[in-house]
Amino acid sequence: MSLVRALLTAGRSALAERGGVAAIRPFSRALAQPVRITFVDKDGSEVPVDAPVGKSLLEVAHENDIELEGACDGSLACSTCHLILDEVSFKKLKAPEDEELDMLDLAFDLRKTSRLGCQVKVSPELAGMRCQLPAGTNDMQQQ
Amino acid sequence: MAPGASSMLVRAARRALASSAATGGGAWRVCIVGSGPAGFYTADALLKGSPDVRVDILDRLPVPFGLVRYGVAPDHPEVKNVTERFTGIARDARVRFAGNVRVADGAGLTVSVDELRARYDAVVLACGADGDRALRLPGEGLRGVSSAREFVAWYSGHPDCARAGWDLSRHDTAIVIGQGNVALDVARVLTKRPAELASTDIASEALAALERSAIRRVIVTGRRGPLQAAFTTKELRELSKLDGVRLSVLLGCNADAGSHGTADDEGGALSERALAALSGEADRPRRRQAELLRKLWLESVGGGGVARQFEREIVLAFHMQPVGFEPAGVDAGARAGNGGEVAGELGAVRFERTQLSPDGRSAVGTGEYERTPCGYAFRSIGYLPSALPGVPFDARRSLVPSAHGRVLGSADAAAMPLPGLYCSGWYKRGPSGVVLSNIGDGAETAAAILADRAAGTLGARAGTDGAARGGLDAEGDGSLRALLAGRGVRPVDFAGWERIDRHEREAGAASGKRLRKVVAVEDMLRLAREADD
Ligand SMILES: Cc1cc2nc3c(=O)[nH]c(=O)nc-3n(C[C@H](O)[C@H](O)[C@H](O)COP(=O)(O)OP(=O)(O)OC[C@H]3O[C@@H](n4cnc5c(N)ncnc54)[C@H](O)[C@@H]3O)c2cc1C
Ligand code: FES
Repeated sequence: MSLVRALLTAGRSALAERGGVAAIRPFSRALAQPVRITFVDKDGSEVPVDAPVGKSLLEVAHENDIELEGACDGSLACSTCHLILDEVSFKKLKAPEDEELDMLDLAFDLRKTSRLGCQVKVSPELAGMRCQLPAGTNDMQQQ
Repeated sequence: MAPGASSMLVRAARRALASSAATGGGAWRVCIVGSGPAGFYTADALLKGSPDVRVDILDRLPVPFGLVRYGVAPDHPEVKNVTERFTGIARDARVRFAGNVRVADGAGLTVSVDELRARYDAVVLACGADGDRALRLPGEGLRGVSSAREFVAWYSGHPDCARAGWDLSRHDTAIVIGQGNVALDVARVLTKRPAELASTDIASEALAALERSAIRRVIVTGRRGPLQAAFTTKELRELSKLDGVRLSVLLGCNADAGSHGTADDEGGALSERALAALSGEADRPRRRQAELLRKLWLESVGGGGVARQFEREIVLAFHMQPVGFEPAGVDAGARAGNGGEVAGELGAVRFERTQLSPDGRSAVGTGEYERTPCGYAFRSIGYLPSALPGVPFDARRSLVPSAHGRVLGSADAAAMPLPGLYCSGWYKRGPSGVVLSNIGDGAETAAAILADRAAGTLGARAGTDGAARGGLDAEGDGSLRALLAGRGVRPVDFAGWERIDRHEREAGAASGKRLRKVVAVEDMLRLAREADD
């Protein structure tokens, strides 16, 4: 497991060096406590994680070895980061833009509270949020 | 580097652990034919499912990634980010890539499926769809009629189409037949300001042709109505936002005359009442697309007000079924009986107007015809998988018969799976869906392989002396490596591809492009080998 850790840390500091999200996060946010959220896997198993404020749900999922694809690296071009949120948390978020909805329309197992994981940033009011991974990705409703 | 780099490292680490756990023999081999999304996602699922698997990925081209490199439009670089993920998979110690290896009948520089089956526990056909569906209409052979597939391959710098070439400077109107995302890609590339494409990885010859283009109007036609169109809302919205391009929506009327129909035309497919009927949660994608189409249609009908200045126009025209292509410069009399084959240059496409069948599934001709003058017509009605020697093929459906990724002995419903032979991606499902569709697909095929291995029914390497002959990394006489060497095939490994890739990025940076693709296979091979012996 230590190898994973080491690489993870290396990856993170590489991100910071590049002036990525971590580096430009405002001071106050950098100090914010991580937020406890729970991923619910396809088989129903629950994975509680401490999510750093300001990170996207996709980044948080990857850092915790949750199998969320994220094929386009968060550039709103694939919908493989689809997550189904609990209703209360969903309502706390600003409504998704047309462009996000356009991609969600291609996702499998689309629900009312579906969001793209790369577009939702962790914030303190999301504490306790539950993020369900969709049932599968093989069926496409689109031709 | 992309922001997903850290997650790639985690995944690489996870794999490294998985493979180091694989102590002792027990290694088994899978050969995947095709290095597009289906090939890589199938490999990924196998690697996750079995620590001791060895995966060899072959491609007929020296370069990997299939349609992500040669289909996904140059102005959609974000879709191509997925290649970072594939690169992570290719770097797994259990994976070998061999480009420049064509699977066919085993003659010349090719290797046959049977030869692969004799060397691997399982062979996965993930070779996509590289043929064209033809309309089989009179005049289809006229100059100016071509397939969207070839046009896309040309502007993407595919070696097969390098010399195709389109002179776009001769006519002002192009017709695209079909209304899928590929059709919209073609319409967008034809109308977008060339300056906006200049920094992408578009092929230089194509960019030059677009800079000289005389095309002012692109009419994208579909046989059915607006609610049946195959394009996605994302691509439609993008089309509606192009700088200097007007997007008009026509509901079953003469595209050439530019009439737009009235609100009660068309059985009100886009009427408020029709939209209200799409109220269920499952209808959301359709409803949102219909709402956008309705908005665009109202804007086209309304027209009025201060006319914005447009350089070019895209017209979406529904309920138009092509019935023939007419040569330019032929008078109306000669046009009437266009039964035989016609030569010369395209002058117009003849359409029959259609209406929807009562079940909404098909378009039925109404007996009304119209003729739309144009100098270019692009068929965009689907890519077709090709048959491979030694593999059953259902010619009627243009597909390999399969169930859950297992290739079946024949198209017969009762046919049994052929041991050790599988398929994935477009080669399995036909040419539909997005990159994402191949994830579940690869997982299904990998699950079938893993289940068959557990059940002891893989049975590949059968029909041989039973010896494990080995793949790309094996030394033995019977290995794939030895077979290829004996035939004079010189595979390009992943490091070779990375040399090509580096060259393309450097050449791109020097000329202000994302990357500058190498088009000729000989050049690719030379670059791949530059650091070799
Ligand atoms: C024009 C176009 C635009 C698209 N745009 C998008 C988009 O924006 N977003 C999106 O999500 N999806 C897009 N798609 C869909 C996406 O590209 C496909 O879903 C996906 O590429 C299919 O994967 P595949 O691996 O089955 O086939 P392919 O990607 O076609 O890969 C097949 C591979 O097999 C190789 N091969 C073929 N025959 C042989 C042989 N005999 N021997 C050895 N190798 C062989 C080929 O060289 C190729 O590398 C687009 C498709 C097209 C055609
Ligand atoms: S990662 Fe592609 S849309 Fe979120």
